[in-house]
Formats: sequence, structure tokens, C-alpha cells
Amino acid sequence: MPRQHPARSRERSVARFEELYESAFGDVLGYLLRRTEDPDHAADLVADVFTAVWARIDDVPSGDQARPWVFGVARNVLANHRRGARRRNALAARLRADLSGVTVTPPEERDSGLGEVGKVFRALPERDREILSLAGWEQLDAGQIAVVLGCARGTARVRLHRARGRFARALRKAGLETGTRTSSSAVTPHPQRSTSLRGADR
Amino acid sequence: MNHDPIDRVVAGLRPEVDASHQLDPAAPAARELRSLITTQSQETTMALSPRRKRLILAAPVAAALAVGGVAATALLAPADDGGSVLPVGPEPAAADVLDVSVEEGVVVAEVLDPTADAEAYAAEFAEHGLDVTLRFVPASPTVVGNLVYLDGNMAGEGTDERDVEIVTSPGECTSQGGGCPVGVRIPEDYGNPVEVVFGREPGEGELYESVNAATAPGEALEGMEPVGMTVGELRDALAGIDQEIAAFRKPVQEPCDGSANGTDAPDADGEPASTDSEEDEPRDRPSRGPNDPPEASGDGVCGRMVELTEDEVGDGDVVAEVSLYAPGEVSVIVEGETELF
Repeated sequence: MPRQHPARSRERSVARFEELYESAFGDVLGYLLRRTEDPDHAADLVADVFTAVWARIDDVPSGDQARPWVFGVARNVLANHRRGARRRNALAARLRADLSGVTVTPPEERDSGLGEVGKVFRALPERDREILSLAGWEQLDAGQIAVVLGCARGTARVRLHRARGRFARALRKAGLETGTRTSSSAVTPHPQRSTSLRGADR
Repeated sequence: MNHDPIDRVVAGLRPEVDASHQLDPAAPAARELRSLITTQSQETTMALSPRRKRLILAAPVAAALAVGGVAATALLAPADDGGSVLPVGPEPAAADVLDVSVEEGVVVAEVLDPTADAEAYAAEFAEHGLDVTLRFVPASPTVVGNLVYLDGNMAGEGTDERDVEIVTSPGECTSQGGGCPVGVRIPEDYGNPVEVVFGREPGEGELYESVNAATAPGEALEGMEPVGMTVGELRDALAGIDQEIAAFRKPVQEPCDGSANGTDAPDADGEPASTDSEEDEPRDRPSRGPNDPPEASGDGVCGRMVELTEDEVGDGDVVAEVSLYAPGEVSVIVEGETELF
């Protein structure tokens, strides 16, 4: 445990932790909010994530591997949450109150044209949805995804590639055109709506 | 980054988080969390409603010298009159957190400040040569005041071979007829760090972190037999005892990560057979490169619990399990397509 470190080492640990917290807090909380769509739980989960990061501060990899490593911790915390583990993290009390004002809007609610695409996406195996959303929602590349999943970089690349392929096939099977061949647009269930599909980012 | 058109489609499905300052690590709540984690990472600061309950730790130190042990037990007693259920000896030494006195070879340590942080308790225990972390978690009624967690070798690195024993009080606390686990007996100068967690009453809006069986004597569903009821029957029964259902969950089957049906045999394209089993169209994805590693095998967990919304639960669904969730609330697992795991 960090608090048993000698003072000097503890200072370094705290500095390292604060640096990680500053750089990853918003992204990790966003990830948890998107995946749970539940601000109430997200506060406890983000507290659990950073509590775990602090407990393992000596294990955090250096350099640009640190941030995806924190996402890996978040992924484990989320998996436990989904398995039914639920706990209140006392440290999150104030954040929980703060997050009560946050809303998470599923894409279909702001654009009904996405309903069919969303349905196809949700029908994918969870492992495909996970890796696709790590890439498409959290903007992680294959190398970073490998750190999150704890697998080799090549494995992550292959998994991502296959997941994309399965999603593209499923979209075509559902009669939704994908831009995989033309690469000019994304998906066009109704061609005139292609902009709204991509306009979701802002 | 997202040059791949499919990634852009996925990006279009990204749920929109409407939060401005809340994602900012410099916002007050986020800053508070950051500093709490590095200073505490404990849960002792939660309200313990000290007006209604008092925690007393008893440590028989002189006896300990004889038998080689120090015991810490939690006893709960009405405290509104300021009285104590245990004899308190001579004027105790000044202490802000634990009030320590000695009588007939027993050190009575009374918790004066149940909201004090772990470091303060730790210092008191340290005087007896012990490294003890004491925490309290919100618990269901029959677990309040009980020991709910004991780790006699917290960091996993301790070398002290002696055992930390659980102290039980007479009475039947568990459905198995066992006594109530109310404390621990720790050998004096025990070398390993110890973590001790007691149940306490939940504060306003808190969920239980430690629970007894929902139907145990003294708990909310005492005398009921909810398993096997339909959800409709359960709702009616709960309405009569002022309990609500906070959440529904259901076990569902899912392909295992990397080894879908419990077998490692891949199908023709090198993937677990079940992943593609519903697809019958020709595959057009590029072939794998010669250096691509095989997909890693998963850990074989082939089911998971999904949370159901109220609309997804029918009155005819069958209740598989009911557990205590919070005061006045239970959570329900309904029978799903797979066994509970």
C-alpha cells in the first residue's frame, strides 16, 4: 500500500497519481458514463477506478502506456459492476451529488435515423461491441486497446479488424449500406441522412 | 485516428454525455475525490449516526500477556444517556479517538469519535504493537455491530504465522445457528497488518454493503419464501411489508471471450464456431496475415448478469433470488436462460 512507503517515495507516488488523475479523470468518467448510462453508478465506479490505481501506483506503466492502463482498470471495475458487484464508494459522495445533473443521451434519441444501425450494433457479441467502442468512442488505437485488454498488440489489431468486419457484414445483411467500399461516407440507411450519422460528435 | 469507415459508424453511436464541469478533474468534487484517495482510501469517514449507537472496543491486555492475545470486539449499546455497558476504570489517558482504560486486566477502548479516520484508530492500536485498519460499512439490521470482514494479512506479505481469531458472542446470528461474529482476537505484537470491518447502520440514502440473507430472522423478509414466486406475487407480498424492488437482474448466456462454447476447437476460419454461427453469407474480410497471432482464449465465463428495466420484467417471471439492497429496498434476480453463477 502506498501509505506504507517512506515519505520521499510516497511524495513521488502522490505526484504520479495526481498527474494520472489530471490526465485521465475526464476520459475515464466519460467512458464509464457511456458504458453504464448511469451517472449515479459512474461516480462510485470512477472512485473505485482511481482507488485501485492508487493502490497499484507502483505498477502503472510509464509513458503513453499509463493512460490506456487506467482504462484497463476501468474495464475491470466495469466488468465487476456488470457481474452484479455493487458498492458505494464513500469517497465519491460529493461527486455523486455533482453527477446527478449529468445526462447521457443514447444516439437514437437525438437521431432516430440511427435506430437501425444501433440495433445491429447491439446485436453484436459484447466483445465486439467493447473493442469497437474503445476505438470509435474512446478514440484508442490498437496499441492502446492492447494495453486495456491486456493482450498483445497484434491480437488487439486482429480482434479489432474482425469486429469491424462482423459489424460491416451485419449492417449489409440488415440492408444498411456501409462506406467500406467507397470510404466516402459512413453508413447511409437513407443517403440524405449520412451527415446526421456523423454529426453526432458535437 | 478514425480513418476506418466502420469506426466512424461506431463513433456515430456514441452516447452523448451532457456534462460540462463534471468531467473536469479540477472541479471541486473531482479535486476532493483525488485528495481523499491519496489521504484515506478508507470508509471510516462515513456517518455512523453516533447519537444512536456507540461502539466499544474491548481489549483484554493483561489477559493478553497471559494468553498472548489482544481482542477487539465491537459492542453496541444505547448511548443517549452517556452511560456505558462496560466497566470503565480509572481516568483514561487523554485520547481523542479511543478512550482507553484498564480494569481487571482488561483494556476497555471506547470509540469516542466514530467518524475519525483510520489513521487515528491505527495509532491507538499501534500502542499495543498492532497494525490494525478499522473500517465500518453500511449493513443490514442483523449485521450492524458484527464483524463483516477480517483480513489477518492485509498486504499478503506478512510472515507472522499466528492466527487472528474471530470472537463470537453467544446467541444465534446466522441461519446455521452460529454465534455472532463480534470481534477479533489478535496476538499481541502480531506482525502482520490486519484489516477489520464492522457493519454499521446505513446513513441516509446509503446502500447496504454487507447483508444477511433477506429472509433471516430480524431482516426485512423474515418468514417469507420469495424464491419461486412470480414477480407479481412478490410485489404483492412486499407491498405488505413496506419494501420496494430497487433493481431486477437476470442471468444471460453469452459467448465466452475467445472460446465461445467451452471448446477450443475453432471453425474453418480460425474463429470459435459460435461467433459466426448465425451468418451464412460469404465472408469477405481480408485473410489473416501470416504473422497475426491467434486470438487469445478467454477465461471461460459464459454468462453474465444483466440489469433489467421495469418494462422488461413481466409479472409472470419467476423469482430466483431476493437480496437486501438498502433500507426498504431489495434487489431481485429473476430466472433467466441460464443457471445462476
